[in-house]
Amino acid sequence: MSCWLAVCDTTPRDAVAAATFTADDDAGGVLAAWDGHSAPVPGAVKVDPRCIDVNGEAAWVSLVLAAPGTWLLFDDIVVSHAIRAVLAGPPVDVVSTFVIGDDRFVGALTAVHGDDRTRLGHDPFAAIFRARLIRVGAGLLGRTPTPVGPMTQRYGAANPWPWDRFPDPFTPDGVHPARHGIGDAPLC
Amino acid sequence: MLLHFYRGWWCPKEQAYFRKLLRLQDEAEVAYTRFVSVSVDTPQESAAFRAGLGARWTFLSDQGRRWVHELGLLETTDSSHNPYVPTVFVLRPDLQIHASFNGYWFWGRPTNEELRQAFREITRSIRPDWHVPRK
Repeated sequence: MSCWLAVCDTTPRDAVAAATFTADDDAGGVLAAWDGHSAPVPGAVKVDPRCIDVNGEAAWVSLVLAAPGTWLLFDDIVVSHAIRAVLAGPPVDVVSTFVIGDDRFVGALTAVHGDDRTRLGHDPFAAIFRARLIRVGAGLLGRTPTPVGPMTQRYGAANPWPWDRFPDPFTPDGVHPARHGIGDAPLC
Repeated sequence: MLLHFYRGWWCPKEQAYFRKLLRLQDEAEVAYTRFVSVSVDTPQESAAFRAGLGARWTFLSDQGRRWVHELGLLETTDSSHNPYVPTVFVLRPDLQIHASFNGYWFWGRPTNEELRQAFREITRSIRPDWHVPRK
């Protein structure tokens, strides 16, 4: 089971959470999230499930998304370097890489709640693919725990960084991560 | 997890020891191992120290000195800073203490090799696939 995120024109009826966003460069759209084993819509990417919270507040977001058909291996050194820069930098409210398949990096989301967009600072992932600064409404983005570091690896191929639990090996389908908690999976 | 209590940014012994831990972080980042360093420095001091070191792990501030007393780790011989006794714990995933090191005297601190051995022991004991699974 994975958590998916996609940019849409309108709010999908089957999304578990969604919010409209605005951007200085164009008319904006809708960011929507789903739970599922496969991509719910074309272009959907896997995201750390802790990002998603239907009760989440509005946020400024640096949204980095690869062009369709473009990706890097998640283990590419440029991705690792960006993750190190995130770990070395000041904390934000929400951060997650985007993954498709088991090993393809296609972007990241970095967000801060409130009105102070300067807290976003420089997004290390913006060096990889184009970043957009957008304002996302309430109802989608929660808070991810600040990654502890110095870990840069993913806990399983299906899980975007910074998700930091291996699936419980004794649960037949693995532990579906609770969006607001760490579940029962081992710490590391 | 490495849980590391240190006196403060101002201590030359801590600066020397952090330089050792920095060499280990490049290994820990690919080994599912996390570091947390705790001191009585203010959050601002901790953040500046962390940035100056180039550390990529979590630094926590016990500025209010609540936990140093709860944990019984107060260095009573320093009444100026009232800092932590330099202490390193290596924790298992369930936060059980696997090893502890008293760094009141510098050589009491764990070497990087001792830490590697501890991490190896823990990983070997928790990973059912420590030996490569065979079909």
